[in-house]
Amino acid sequence: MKFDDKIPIYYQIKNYIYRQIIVGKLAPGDKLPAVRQLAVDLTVNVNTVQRALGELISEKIIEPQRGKGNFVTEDRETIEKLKKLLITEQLQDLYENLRKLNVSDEEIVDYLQDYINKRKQVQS
Amino acid sequence: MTNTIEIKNLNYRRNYRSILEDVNLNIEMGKIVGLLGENGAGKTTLMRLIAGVAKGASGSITVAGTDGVPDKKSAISFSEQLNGFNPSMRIDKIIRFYEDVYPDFSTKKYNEMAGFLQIDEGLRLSALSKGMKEKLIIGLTLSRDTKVYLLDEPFGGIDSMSRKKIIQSIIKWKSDDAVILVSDHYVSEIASILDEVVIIKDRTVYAQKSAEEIRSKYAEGIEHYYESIYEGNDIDD
Amino acid sequence: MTSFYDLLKSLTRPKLRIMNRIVLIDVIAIVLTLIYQVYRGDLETDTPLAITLSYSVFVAIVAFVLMSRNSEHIFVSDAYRLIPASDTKLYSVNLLSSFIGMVYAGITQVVLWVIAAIPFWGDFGAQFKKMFHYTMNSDKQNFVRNMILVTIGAILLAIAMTLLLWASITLIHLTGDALTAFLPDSRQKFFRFVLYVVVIVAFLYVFSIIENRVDGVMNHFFNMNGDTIASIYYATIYLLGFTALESVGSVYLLKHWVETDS
Repeated sequence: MKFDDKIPIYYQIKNYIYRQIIVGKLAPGDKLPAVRQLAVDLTVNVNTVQRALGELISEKIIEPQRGKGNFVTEDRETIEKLKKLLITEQLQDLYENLRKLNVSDEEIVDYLQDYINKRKQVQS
Repeated sequence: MTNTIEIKNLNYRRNYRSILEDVNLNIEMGKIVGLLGENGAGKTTLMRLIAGVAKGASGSITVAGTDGVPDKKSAISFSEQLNGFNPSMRIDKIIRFYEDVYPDFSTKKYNEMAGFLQIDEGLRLSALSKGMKEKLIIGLTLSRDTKVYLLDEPFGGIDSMSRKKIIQSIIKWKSDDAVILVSDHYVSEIASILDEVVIIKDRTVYAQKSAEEIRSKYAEGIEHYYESIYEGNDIDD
Repeated sequence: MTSFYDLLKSLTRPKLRIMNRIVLIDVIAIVLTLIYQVYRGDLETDTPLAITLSYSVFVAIVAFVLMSRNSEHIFVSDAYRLIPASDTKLYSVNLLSSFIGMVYAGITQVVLWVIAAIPFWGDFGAQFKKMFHYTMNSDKQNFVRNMILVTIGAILLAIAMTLLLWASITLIHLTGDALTAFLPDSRQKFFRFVLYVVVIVAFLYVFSIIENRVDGVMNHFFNMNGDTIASIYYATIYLLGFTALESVGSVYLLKHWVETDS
């Protein structure tokens, strides 16, 4: 994973794991790789991984099981909420960026629909 | 949290020139610390003083609770350990030297690392490419079980694939309470594994900050932060 | 901490490797010289031994110098100064390993002498029998005892001299090295040369002063004019005393002043 050195890494790790869960690479109830293995795979500090995991645990996205490791929550509702949260973040970014270009609310919907239609055409 | 390295009022002069002045530095156990500074700033000298091969400084350097130089040597693994070997020495003979001379050297750990880094053992020291030599140094240095690892420019002249492998080796094999002090110019590559950054400027410790703090407080990359300090426009307190 | 024995193993191996190379060259030189003598038609029964003995002198000198060079290199190399052992241990093991190297070389030379003497072993046997007969039958039992004492004494004295020489070289080297920290940066090479000359001269001067004083004290307390054998042993102890003093100085310099080259 390529990290943006301007943003705290533990935060980027959290996002990485969020996405893994949402797209299904980490299914509900799946066991996460060991802390050290994660650190090696992502080429980050073990402490940073632990900090990220700590926050994920308090957010109840991850559940630690004594002696066994860390597991993705089985609570589908939590995962849904997470997905909604990340989608909302993306929408917020898009909305704010378009507003900065003086695009009005109605125009935003139009442009978006247009764009999606065009993509469908390209694909077929 | 205990400090593995405690440096107080360190002053070091040589040939009528002051090289390090009023250095005060504490490093907590378990941290990976980047030692940054321009060429000649004193990074290597600081490491040599900590390791005990530079002499004549005033002030104190305490490592793992001890001041005595032989005891400190037991607690420190320094990447300069290969200097002074006969260039015609074969790698397997060097490993045997390490096994004899360092009670904390683990041949098993070395073999794992050598396999991971693909170090060719039949060669003589003089026959190694720069990159291979650096890999050997890292392999040997990290195979000792010590409280402190001093890595002086471990990536000089290595291709980026090997650099990544070396960084992964460091993450994989570092024990939780060990301190690693890395100095390098490839700041951006090691930035992701650093807990803290210590910047040497004007012959002293100019700044010591947590890496994540730099990122969150200043929205700065480590490298950019370091450059801004050297250019004199620190975006600092 | 590294044990004395493990450190000794590691420091002795490279020195023995150096010795093997010297002995190899020695043997090749002897063989080539013999071949040359055969070519010249000068070969006699005592030629091999004569050649071997005279080349032994070269071997001794070269061995001494190379052991010294190896030792001094160790004192300023990271590979050895980073080893978890006190400077006292490093110094003693270094000196001991040099000594072992010399003994090893000595043994190889003795072996070569024996081999070279094969041509006239027959003669040897006869000579030996004559000497044995003479000593066993005479009243000069003391003669044998004295011969043994003198031989042992001479060997010990030679050892003491070798150790003293090595210790002196180390002390001069380390003193010079420690003082280079006080040289101004410019034209380092030139100043270093001058520095070592000064150190050597100062060393010899101090050495001779101390030696005079000690001599005076020794003559006051011991009257050794008569007993030559005892004086060999006293001289040995005398030299070892100086060696010990110089060693203390060298270890002090190692601990506080001598850095590694890089």
